[in-house]
Amino acid sequence: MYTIHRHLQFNVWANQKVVDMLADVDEAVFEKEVISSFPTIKKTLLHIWDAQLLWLTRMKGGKTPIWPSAEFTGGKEELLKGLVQSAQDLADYIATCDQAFLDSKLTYKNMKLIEYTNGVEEILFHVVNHGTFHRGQFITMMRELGYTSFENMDLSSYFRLF
Amino acid sequence: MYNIQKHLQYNAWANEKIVGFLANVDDMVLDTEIKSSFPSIRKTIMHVWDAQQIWFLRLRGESISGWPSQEFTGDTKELFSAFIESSHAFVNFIASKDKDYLEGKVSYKNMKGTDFSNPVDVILFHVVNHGTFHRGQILTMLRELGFTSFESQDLIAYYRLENQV
Repeated sequence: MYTIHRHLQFNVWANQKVVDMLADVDEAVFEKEVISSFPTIKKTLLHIWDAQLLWLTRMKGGKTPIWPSAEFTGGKEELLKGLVQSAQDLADYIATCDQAFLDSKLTYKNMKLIEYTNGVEEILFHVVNHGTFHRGQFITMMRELGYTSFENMDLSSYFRLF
Repeated sequence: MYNIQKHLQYNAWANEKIVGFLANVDDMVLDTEIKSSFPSIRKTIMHVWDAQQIWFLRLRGESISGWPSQEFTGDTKELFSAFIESSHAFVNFIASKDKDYLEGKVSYKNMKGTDFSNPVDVILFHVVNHGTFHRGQILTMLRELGFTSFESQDLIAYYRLENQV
């Protein structure tokens, strides 16, 4: 059976693909303006990291963390490390939770302080889906910047479906 | 337990968001060349539609040797309508299936005629994930073309709406 645990591992893998693709890319490329939901590769990746950290913090019952995007001053290495580490932290934490927790509901306030309640598993599938959406944007932005060769990040590649 | 049927409904909902937006823009927007995985919004949509059709046929044990969209000659309206119909086909198909089916495997030949057997639920999650990836690209392409205001396509936005009902 396909589980949220495998989906969170897929999310780690897909973020790692982003990191692999950027390994030899010049740091300046991260800061180049491209029209998208977020105006640079750096801000797009920080946004994925933000969401992963935010939801992990909420899952643990903690207060809203300081956004990586708000306080981040590091360079490429640190950014890529944070992106994958936050995905790994989420997968690792959820691996310790039982099915009763996954089936339970979480009440939280959004950034505008409106209260919402969602199923924990719904939220976790959202986090991965959200990352996938912005990873798609990341690829389009890279193409806009002249890159043409990328690794496949499809779930079918992760599972070797053909 | 996570409801895979709702996940497929989300996919149809998100595709409807895109189509709903594009229904109100000039056809030219769909065909303007933009650097992305596919060189226009129309071609990106056709790719998502192709993937949905191919996997849907495979779930039913049917195999095809070419991309379905290659034989498509309809206009934009017909494309959108076929795309949305294919999104709902998954939801309807799965509605009649039990847990054993979802956790089982389906066998098919790929486009080169090689036999494959893959888990049904993984295929379904792949189809939605694949669509989301390219829907993200469409949003960026629309922004490249000067559009700035969009409704959220987040999975959690879908669930918040569902919870209101």
